[in-house]
Amino acid sequence: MWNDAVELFVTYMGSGIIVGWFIISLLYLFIKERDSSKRILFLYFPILILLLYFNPLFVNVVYGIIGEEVYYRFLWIVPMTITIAYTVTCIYASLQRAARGIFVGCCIVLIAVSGRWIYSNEYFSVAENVYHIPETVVKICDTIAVEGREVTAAFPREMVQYVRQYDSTICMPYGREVLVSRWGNGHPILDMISSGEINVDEFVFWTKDKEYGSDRPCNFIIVPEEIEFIGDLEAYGIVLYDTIDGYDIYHDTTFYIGL
Amino acid sequence: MVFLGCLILVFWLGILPVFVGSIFSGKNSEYSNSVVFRFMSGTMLLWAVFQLLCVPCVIRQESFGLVVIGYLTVSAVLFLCGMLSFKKYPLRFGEKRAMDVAEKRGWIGFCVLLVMQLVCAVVLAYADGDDAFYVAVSEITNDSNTMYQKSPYSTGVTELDIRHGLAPFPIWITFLARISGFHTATVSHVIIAAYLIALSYLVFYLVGTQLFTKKSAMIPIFLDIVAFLVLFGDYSSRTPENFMIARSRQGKAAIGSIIIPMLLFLLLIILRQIQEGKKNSAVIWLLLTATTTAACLCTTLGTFLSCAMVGCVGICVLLVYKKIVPVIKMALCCAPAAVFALLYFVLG
Repeated sequence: MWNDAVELFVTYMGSGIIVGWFIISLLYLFIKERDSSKRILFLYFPILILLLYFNPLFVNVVYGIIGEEVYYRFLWIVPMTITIAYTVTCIYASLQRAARGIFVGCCIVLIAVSGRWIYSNEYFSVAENVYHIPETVVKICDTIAVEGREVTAAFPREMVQYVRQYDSTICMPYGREVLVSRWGNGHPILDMISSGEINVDEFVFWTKDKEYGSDRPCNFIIVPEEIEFIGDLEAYGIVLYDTIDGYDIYHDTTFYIGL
Repeated sequence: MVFLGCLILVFWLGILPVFVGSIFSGKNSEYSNSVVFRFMSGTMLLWAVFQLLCVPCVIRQESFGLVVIGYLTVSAVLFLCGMLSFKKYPLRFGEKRAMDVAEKRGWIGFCVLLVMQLVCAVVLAYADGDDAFYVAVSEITNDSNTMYQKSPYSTGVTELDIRHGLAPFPIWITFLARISGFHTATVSHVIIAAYLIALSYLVFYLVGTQLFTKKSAMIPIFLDIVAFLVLFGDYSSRTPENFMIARSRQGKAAIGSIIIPMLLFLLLIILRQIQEGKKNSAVIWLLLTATTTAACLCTTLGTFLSCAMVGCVGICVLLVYKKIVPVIKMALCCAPAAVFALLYFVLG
């Protein structure tokens, strides 16, 4: 467990340079700071937290309580950002006016080089609507929703996490839990949709069957247009309902949902 | 309808906390009559009250409508109490003083950085898998009027999810969606995202006021550096800065970037008062209690983090100042959080 805690710390640090600035800040405050209240909060307290974080006994107890996934959040109470900013400002205040601008400029460059621009994160994209949900998901949900009733629909992988954020009356035979590898083992319907080629007999076994497919059969199945079906879907009462932004929506007409 | 919804949210998120925070104002206080202090303390009290109201309703499997009515009623009472206090202790906007060029530049730079982050919160979407839980819980609550009784991920009814129900931050978001009439996804991803980022910087400002009591010209420089550290805080996906900007609608982001800095601000005041041999005012202890309770609203881990923070600072106080009474008071301020921790073990 102690090794896991160290590994979590290393992952948390990223390149480690910002943490380096934090340690330098601690050293500066150790030498220069005379105010005991600030020494407690920006020197003794962070050191105590770090000692606790790496204490094997503490690791064993806390790991058991809060779990290994979130143990690193214990580091959040170390005021790293505020300590660095406070130190930089103290040094700035102690400089001659002419040198202050150059000092702040250098600090900003060092911060930029040490960290990573937050908006360069690959998961950021320009919002497509006021819901911050992909517009295609919104259009599909609006198309299959039935007033005053819950419907069940199987969605492709890229849409699963958004559907119930937008409309909770749309149920799914699987949810985000099957997308996270450490939680689950996928789902047969999703695996078939993701494979690019669907054997109709096998597919329908899962989408229609209450016992095996889910606790309720699928009223709608959404698949990318390029998916190839091997077999006749219509023989099972499943017909093409609509096509939206490159996704085909199939409707199982054998279950009455008021459409 | 959109205009009315905006007005309601401006009142609830912007004006109401200032009046509620006036409860914490005092005659001789050096900080409690400032608008930012009142706003933040009002927000903490309103969050704490929501936690105290909502969790029993979740446990008893009451309807969300009951939480809405209860919270509106209690907030109205707090608003009236705040109004009375506000009349007695009006806002103080600080003495006007001339700013030098560097200070002006510092403030302008900070405002540019802040506005940029707020605009990005509105126009940029961040794809985070955890939203499939938190935002879906908000949407389900609004739609079904039940709390934590339906699976957010896939299908309909499930057994009560008490583990998450002890930290009902998504339900607070649903409350805002219900009173404003906006979609829960819009409130979560757009309104609350931008609001909580602004709130974080207000807390950083408060911390700055305590760090630079005699050199207030340094506050904008401090905030500029904080803003740059936040903007370049994506050195790992686990930093509080990453959560603050990318996942600001999730309660765990509020813990890292609002509650913990707020606790730091309050502890700075408490420690300074101990250092100067002054008696700590009841207001600060009440506010510390409200903040540790608000931590429980954000995430179940907030219980542990807030208690650990106050506890460790308490140990340092004991070692440095050798005073036991403030440490006992600190421990008492964690009592509500300790109760929620107990509930977690008993029910979870």
